[in-house]
Parts: sequence; C-alpha cells; structure tokens
Amino acid sequence: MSRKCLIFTNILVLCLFLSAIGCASVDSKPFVKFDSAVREAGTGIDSAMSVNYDWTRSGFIESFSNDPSSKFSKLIIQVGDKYSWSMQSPPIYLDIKRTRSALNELNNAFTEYADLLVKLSGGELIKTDTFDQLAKDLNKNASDASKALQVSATPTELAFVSTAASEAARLYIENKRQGHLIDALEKNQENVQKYSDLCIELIHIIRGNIKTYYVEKYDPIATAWNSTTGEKRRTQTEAMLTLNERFTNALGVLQELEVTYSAIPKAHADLSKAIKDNKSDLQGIQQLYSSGARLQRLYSELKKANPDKAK
Amino acid sequence: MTISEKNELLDTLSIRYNRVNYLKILAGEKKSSPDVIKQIEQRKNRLKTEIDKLLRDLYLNWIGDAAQLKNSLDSKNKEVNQCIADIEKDIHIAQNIVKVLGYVDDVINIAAALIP
Repeated sequence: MSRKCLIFTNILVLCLFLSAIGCASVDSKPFVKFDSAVREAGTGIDSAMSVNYDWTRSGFIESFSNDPSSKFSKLIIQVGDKYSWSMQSPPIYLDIKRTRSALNELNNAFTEYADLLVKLSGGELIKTDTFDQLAKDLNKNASDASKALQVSATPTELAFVSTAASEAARLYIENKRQGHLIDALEKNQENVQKYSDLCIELIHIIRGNIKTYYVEKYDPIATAWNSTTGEKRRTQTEAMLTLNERFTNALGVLQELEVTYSAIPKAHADLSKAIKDNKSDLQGIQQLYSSGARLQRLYSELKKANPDKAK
Repeated sequence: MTISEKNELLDTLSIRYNRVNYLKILAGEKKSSPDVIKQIEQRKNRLKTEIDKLLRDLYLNWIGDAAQLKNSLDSKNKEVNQCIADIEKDIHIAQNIVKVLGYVDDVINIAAALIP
C-alpha cells in the first residue's frame, strides 16, 4: 500500500513536471545587451549635452562681451525670498543646465528599469544551486521517513521524487517569473516609446542649438584672423580646424544617438520574443547593441576633442 | 505647433543663421560697404533672438514632459521591484516547506519508534 502511495506520488509529481515542461529558463543575455546599450545611449546623450552647455555658455560670453549694446546689469542676479533668485534675461545655457539635470533623472529611472529587467530575467534570482539543495534536503527527509515507515522504496526512486518535486517548484517559480517579465515588458512598451521619442526630440533640440552656437564659436576666430596677417594667422587656422572637428564629432554623436534611441522600442519589444522563444531572431536587440557600441567609440572621440567638458 | 514642427523650424532657423553669418564674412572679404555689413549684422541678431526664444520654449517643454515620464517610470519600477520580491518570497516558501517537511519527518520517526 505504501509503495503504491509512493508510485502515486511519483506520477503526480511527474504530471506536474510535464505540465510545466516547455517553461525553460529565461536567457538573460538579450536583457543584458539591452541594459548595456541603454547605458551607452545615456552616456552619449549626456556627453552631447555637456558639449552643448559648454558651447552655448562660451558663445554667450563671446557675443555678450562683443555686443556694444550689452548692459552689465543684465548679468546681475536678482536675489529673491529664501533660496530663490532670478535674472532679467537669463542666458539660454541656464536652461540647458536644467534640462541636463532633468535628463539625468529621466535616464536614471530608465536605467533602473533596464537593470530591474536584468535582475528579473537573471540566473541570480532563481539559482539552480538553491533547487539542487532543496532536492537534497527533500531526498534526505524522504529516505528518513521511508525508513521510519518501513516503506520499501529504493534510493533511486526516492531521489527521483525529490528531484521531480524540486524541479516542479523551480518550474512553478520560473513560470511565474516569465509571467512577471512579460507583464512588465507589455505594460512599459508605451513608456519606452515615449522615452525614445522624448530623447529624439532632445537630440533635435541639441542639434539646432549646436548648429546655431557654432557661429558664436567661430565668429571671434574670424575677427582675430582678420586683425592679423601671415604667420600670425596660424593660431586662428588651428583653432578653426579644431572647432570644425568638435562640431562634426558632435553632429556624428547626435546622428548615431538618433539611431540608438530609434532602435530602443523595437529592441524592448524583442525582449518578449526572447522569453517566449530562446531561438527567435532578435534583430532589434542586435541593432540597438551595435549602435550602442558605435556610439561609445564616437563619444570617446568627442571627449578626446573636448577633454575638460565632455565628462 | 507640435514639438516636431518646432524642431523643424529650429533646424531651418539655425541653417539660415549660419548662412547669414557666412554672408557677413563674405561681405567683409569682398570689402562691401559698412552699411551692408551692418544690415546683415542686424538681421543676424534678430534671427538669434528668435532662435534663443524657440530654444528656451523647447527646453522648458522638454523638462515638463521628462518629469511626467520619469514619474510614470518610477511607479512602474516599483511594480517590477515588487515582482522580484514576490519571486524571492516564493523561493523562501519552497525552502521553508522543505524545512517543515523535515520537522514532520522527525515527528514520524518519533511516532514510528513508539508504535509497537
């Protein structure tokens, strides 16, 4: 009778196991790639923002100083209540500073989301070791109980029950994890699209800003060039070529950033595919990852060309 | 006007601004009259004022939209964190069940020893 009981338990556990089979572990690699590309994009857009801030600030200094109609009073802060202050006509670089701070907060929230996806999909959350230990503990308990009850079960039979039970528990939790992941990905798809759109909007604003302030940056060089002759113009020529390099590097970073941010929504949608089918073609994630890698190279060049500012 | 229309306008204005300044430099190189250069300079300044206004408007709008999205992401992140906590709880439950089964087995051992 006891042996029948054991066989019944075996079959029951096996049924549980079979019903849950097909619920393989999540491959966290696409999630790690997504996370890594999102971080590269965040660093890239911040570097572009840093160059934008620097150019706009120095451009303001140049144009304000050279404009005969400028009044010093326009530079004075009007102190207000407690910590408040204002300026009659605040320079645009102050808005860039505020935007950069808002961008950092937004990027932190998005990076946190990408990190959480890695954690939720990763092997650290549902460790194989934990379930191996469960199987061992179950096996020990079952063999103690079978001895006490004098159940005639072989060690192999007992080990099978324990392994199947711990595997059933793991699959149950794995199934739940996948449900949570798919739910999180579906619920956030709209936010991810908004994030991508918002970052592309900012890239376009920075592009217009940098294109405008390129003029402010080269105008003083042109004035200095016109006031000298011959060999003395070498300094201005050098300065203009360096400025051009910075300008084209910045545009290159912005262009690649647009590619990266455009790829984020599709890559995010691909993560659901990766859960459902380990072997599915994750083109979106691959495109995002490649763009992130190109971006890293481009903003490294931008940093080299602007060592003190693009940090 | 939508944000993307404003951005298109910004791009057009920034191109114009570059062209006007290029024209000013060419006029200087071709020794044009100071009046012509002054007129170009005035147009350039007017254009710059408009671009700065547009930039300020775009940045301020962006900050507002970003704050809204950040709040939405923060609340979704809390939900995902809760999911992770749920799974960790499930794993603890499984471990505790095995522990309890161990205690039950101890009781069975004692009971079995008592049965003649």
